[in-house]
Amino acid sequence: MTAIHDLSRYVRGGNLPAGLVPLSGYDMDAIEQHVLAVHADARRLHADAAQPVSWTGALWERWLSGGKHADSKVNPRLLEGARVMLRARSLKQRAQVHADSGTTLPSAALRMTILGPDIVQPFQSAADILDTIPRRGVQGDQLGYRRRFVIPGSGGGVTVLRGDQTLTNTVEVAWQEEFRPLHWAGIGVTRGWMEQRLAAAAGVPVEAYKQTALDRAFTEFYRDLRLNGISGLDVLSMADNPALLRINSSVVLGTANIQTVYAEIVRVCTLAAEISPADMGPNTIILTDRIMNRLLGTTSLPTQGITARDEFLKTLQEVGITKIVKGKSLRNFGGSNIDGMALLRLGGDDGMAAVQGFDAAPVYTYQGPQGEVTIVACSFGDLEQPVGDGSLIALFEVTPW
Amino acid sequence: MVMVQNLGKQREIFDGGLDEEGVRQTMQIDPQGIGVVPEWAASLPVVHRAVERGRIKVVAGTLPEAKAPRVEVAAPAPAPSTLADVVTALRALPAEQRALLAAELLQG
Repeated sequence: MTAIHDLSRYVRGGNLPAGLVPLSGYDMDAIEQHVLAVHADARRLHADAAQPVSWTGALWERWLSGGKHADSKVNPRLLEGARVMLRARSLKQRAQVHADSGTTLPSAALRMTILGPDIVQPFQSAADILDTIPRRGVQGDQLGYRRRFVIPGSGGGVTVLRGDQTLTNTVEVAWQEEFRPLHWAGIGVTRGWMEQRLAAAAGVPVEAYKQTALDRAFTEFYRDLRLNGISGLDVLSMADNPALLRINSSVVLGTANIQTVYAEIVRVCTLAAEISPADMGPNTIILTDRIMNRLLGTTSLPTQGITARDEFLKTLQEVGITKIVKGKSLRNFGGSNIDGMALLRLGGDDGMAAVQGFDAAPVYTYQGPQGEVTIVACSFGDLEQPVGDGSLIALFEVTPW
Repeated sequence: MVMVQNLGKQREIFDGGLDEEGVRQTMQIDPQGIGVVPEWAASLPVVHRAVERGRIKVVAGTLPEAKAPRVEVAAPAPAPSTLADVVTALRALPAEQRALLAAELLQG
């Protein structure tokens, strides 16, 4: 089970939500120095011996020794984070390592405020959201970044471009920038002591188990961040990005007849293409398996031998959708049994992107009262949408199978 | 009279299905917008759901009981499936086309 602990977001001070405590004397420069020092130290220790004493050490020696850096089996994020992994036998040794590096580590008794509930690990891939929405890198140790968006050239206010322009044939676009905060966060991955014992007793390779747990924590954290944001932080997500229009459909998929279902879904898709006054409409559709399943197996018209789904795919081409992604991330996005279907513009300079600063990297592991806790640091920004026209999320009630 | 406010940052469109004359009706609320809700919209299940989820707040009046709107579109007429149906469909063609068809068929 994992929880999100606010570790370093407010290190630099600034406005703090109630209940959060700044970690005094532990600033961003120190984190960076620590990271570099640990990297150098780990390299030195690795060269000395090949005796794993902790899962991080085992991982380091197993995957990163002797030229296996390019091993594709290691998740790229972990490979990146492995640069800062600690090889530590005991708290005393860790303290010595850090003392040698000249930086100060937070103590195991540091007070952290939990920002969100435990991340329950569902057995589903986030590939539909995380792999489809491209990332835009910004400098990870900054306080903020410049969010790009397009405003109409007709002199309208500084808002994201929407479909209610009075210009009918042409639209001029101009880039604008807005300074947005870049957030630092620490993710605490807690492996309960009972979990640890059970895994060891069952013969599960502990290193692989822990690596998988960490990887799952990354995936779930980023997926939830991009879908719902984090309460209390000013970070835009699919749930509140003002560039996304939200449509609440009254058609119940699974109850209405297939003609109605098909007509409604097509109506939403054509709306997305239609409301853009320029050729900047969506090019990607992300929908759930349940929505797609309601279009399967039934002829759309009794006179034709093709299914509603086939008709739907042809219609998508007509409105400029070139990529169809089916997944489970938008299930229950609008509530219980209310699935989402997102039409987004992705790619290029004007497409949606997830702003990523410092990539998630394990920084510190300690044995806490509830189990072993690995603190992972990362920094991130908004779900950026330079051009808003036509991008939307449609919510459909879906009857269970 | 029911007044609501959109508490979110996204413009929301609520689909109201078809009215008695078969015309599509929708309601749109801008981010943070406040406005009077038409009668047909106040009873929409999607509006009730948005209020329950906290995306919309009722600032005046109370929502009536939820009632699902009419959404079904008419199904197309079934295709002819027997010879009798085919003949019936052909007989419904204009006289000129029937004559042409007959000439074609007789030609073999």
